Amino acid sequence: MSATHPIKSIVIIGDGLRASLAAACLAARCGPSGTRITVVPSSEDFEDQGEVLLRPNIRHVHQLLKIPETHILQAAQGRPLYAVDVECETGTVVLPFGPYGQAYKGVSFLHQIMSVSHRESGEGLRKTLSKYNVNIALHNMGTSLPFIEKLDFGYRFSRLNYGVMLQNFAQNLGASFTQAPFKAAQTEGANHRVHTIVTEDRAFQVDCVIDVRSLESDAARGWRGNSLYIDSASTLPGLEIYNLQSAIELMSDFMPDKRFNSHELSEFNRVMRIKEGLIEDMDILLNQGLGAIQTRPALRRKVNVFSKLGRTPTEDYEVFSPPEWEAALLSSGLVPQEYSRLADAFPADELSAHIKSVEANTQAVLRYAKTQGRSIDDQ
Amino acid sequence: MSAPKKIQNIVIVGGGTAGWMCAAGLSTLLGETGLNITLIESEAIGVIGVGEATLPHIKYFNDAMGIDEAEFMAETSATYKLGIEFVNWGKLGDSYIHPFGDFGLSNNGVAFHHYWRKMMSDPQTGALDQYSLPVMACRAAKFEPPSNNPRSVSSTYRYAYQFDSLKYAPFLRRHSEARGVTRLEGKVVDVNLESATGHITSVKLESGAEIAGDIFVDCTGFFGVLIERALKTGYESWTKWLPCDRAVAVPCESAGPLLPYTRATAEKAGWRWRIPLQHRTGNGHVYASDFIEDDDAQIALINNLEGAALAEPRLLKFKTGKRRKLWNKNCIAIGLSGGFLEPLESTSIYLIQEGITKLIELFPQSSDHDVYAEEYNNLMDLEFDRVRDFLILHYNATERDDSEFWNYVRSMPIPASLEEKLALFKARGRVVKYDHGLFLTPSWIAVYIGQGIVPDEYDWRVDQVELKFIEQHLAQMRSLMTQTAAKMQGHGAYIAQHSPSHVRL
Repeated sequence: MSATHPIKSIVIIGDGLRASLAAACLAARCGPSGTRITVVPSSEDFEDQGEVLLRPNIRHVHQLLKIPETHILQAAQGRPLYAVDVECETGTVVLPFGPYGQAYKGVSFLHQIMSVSHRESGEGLRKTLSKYNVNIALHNMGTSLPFIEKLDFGYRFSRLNYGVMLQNFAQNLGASFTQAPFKAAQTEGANHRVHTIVTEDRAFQVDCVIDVRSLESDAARGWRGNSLYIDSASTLPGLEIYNLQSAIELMSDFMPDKRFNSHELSEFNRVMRIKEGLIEDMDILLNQGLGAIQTRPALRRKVNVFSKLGRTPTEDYEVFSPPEWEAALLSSGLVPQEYSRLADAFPADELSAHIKSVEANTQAVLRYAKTQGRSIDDQ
Repeated sequence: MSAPKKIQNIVIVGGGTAGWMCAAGLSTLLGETGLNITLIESEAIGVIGVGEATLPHIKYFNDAMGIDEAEFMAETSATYKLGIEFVNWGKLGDSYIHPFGDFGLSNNGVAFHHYWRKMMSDPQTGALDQYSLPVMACRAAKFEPPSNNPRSVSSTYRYAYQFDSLKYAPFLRRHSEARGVTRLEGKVVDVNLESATGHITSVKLESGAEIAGDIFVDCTGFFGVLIERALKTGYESWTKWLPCDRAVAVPCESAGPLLPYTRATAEKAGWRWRIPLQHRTGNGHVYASDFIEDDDAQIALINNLEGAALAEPRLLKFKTGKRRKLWNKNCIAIGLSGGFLEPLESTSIYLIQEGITKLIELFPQSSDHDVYAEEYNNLMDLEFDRVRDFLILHYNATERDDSEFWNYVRSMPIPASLEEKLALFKARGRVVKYDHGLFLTPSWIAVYIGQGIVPDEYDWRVDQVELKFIEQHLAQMRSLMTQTAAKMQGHGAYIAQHSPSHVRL
């Protein structure tokens, strides 16, 4: 038996890093042969500039592509990213990829601190906790830091260099990049299935189109017919590539055939809508505050549970890690009213000793970082 | 309005598996927080004792309680369990095992079952079962604990237990009492409510004693003495999807080798369970009373016993579904008082365990605990809903048309959430993934394929792999599974060596 409708041709419309990342991932996931992947630029004069921030899960892509981390760091002038700064009306909020302190015998660090210091104001609690978050401490050092494998980190790369590197990988895996820019998509049928992509100098027959350009509205996002529209732009740092990556990974999990089964399309769109909703929740929490949560059930749940219990519930397909949510919730001025009664069951000395050891560990990591790292200015 | 009161006294009403698991969990994990835990049970009230078969999660519970495995197994006459065999479900004559482990290995990012789907018409390929080590061990009546080496094929499974639940509760009672739980003998005859809030303030015993508490856990089984009789919480019935509403149970003498799996055999209007323990075999027949008479159900059970019956058959009546709120006011319903899902996938004790775990995680500081209750209900509702869909799949995905019962369940409308999952798998073998919920991808694949839901097509990337390579890969995997299972110790011999029961017939 053979699968009857394999995808033979995928055209990616878009530019720079976004297009290269999509091409590299699809080339790796579609296998060594049989599927032609072509990148068609949207404009002739596009050039990636500046830095790109990548969340920790970008390392899945590097594993998929079998790219040694050292190679990426050299090629893309990479630095580790332990947290991101979000500029809000109320100031800068740091969202760390790694946890606050360490749990102790089933008690979260937040609850330990609350037990020891009792009630602090929101700002006080946030500042106290930040001292015990290695990711935030490293982030605040503002220097070029070593990669500490035990920590959760993403990357800060030169956008241009990273894009070029991924383009090379994609090409090595058989993807081709055209020079002539996109001109038109020819469609057929009621669902506007794209059968041909036309550029300035030629036309491509296609089975599937991945469009990574910016779209005019969020509603245009999603999988329709044989086309996947990924406008990955986000107001929150680090999410542009995350959005693109998660869409490509989910599409690769389903890997549709030429008939584009409607159940697969609707499941893809369902999961992506949930993820978009979770990102919107974070954006609303940081930029609109608590007054806007009533129409957001998942966010309301997080706010209610955190402000009462000091816990952060998670949904299916979460985008942000619990420490990021904790940072955002604390920055909104929320202070948990209560904490686990287990925290009070420990003798005060025992808990304080644990907290001191966490502080010592944090300082040790910072000392190590200072000896290993170079300041940005040195580079 | 009065100020919130610190939670200090917790009263568990009802012993049995749920009650004593709850007492053990709370006393072990919260006992040092100054909580006073009282459990009220009456020897005059029988214990249902369902859920002799468990899922691998029970090991985590026992480990968290600090329970020694060998001691637990010896005390409860337990056997090991690597999966559940389903007989006659997809169609008469069928048999498959839902293992506690994976099938094969993915290749180039494509899940194993797509390779199997491509090759399934080749006689050499055989059933998907052959690519699962726990299934091969089950078929050979073998057992060994899994390896800690992630590179070893022996690390690809987990195990659970089959035990005498009537002995598990006394075992946990000793454990709990040693950790400060107070047991009171008595029958609850009345429940006192605070007029302003509707919260339970105390329960009155037949002796006249009144036991006050801040939090009450209802483990009174189907009676729902607190959650329903007193608080009138309401019940969401799922009988339109899961129409079985009765069970008759009887133990019998063991016969044949000691099998490391539970068996669920589909009958004309339900199914029979067979759970091998060290000293006896547990048997039962779950059925829909709209489709078969009680006497006929009992006869079907008795006629299929593999050894002499050891007791009179016992009839249980139930309604599949769940309380509208598992945490209502200051009462949390755990076990059968909270809801009932037939034990087809051995989820009864799992749902008790989840209820306890989530209660401990969300245990409130004070009487102002509405947010705690809402969050607990959110989490438990999701658990119940997802188990429910998985159970419905077993009935709905069938070709059987030999009885009114099967015609009903085969053609009944199913929840949209399940309908979408089925359509997705049927098209090209895709499994809906989620982060929360009990059953993961391998379980869904086992039941889909086992019940005859074979994908119409497979992932086209499979065709990029040379046919010869796939044939070799499958042959090597079959051989590896068979040989590894063959090297394991016999299940009975392993138990005799490591944790023989204290009980002898």
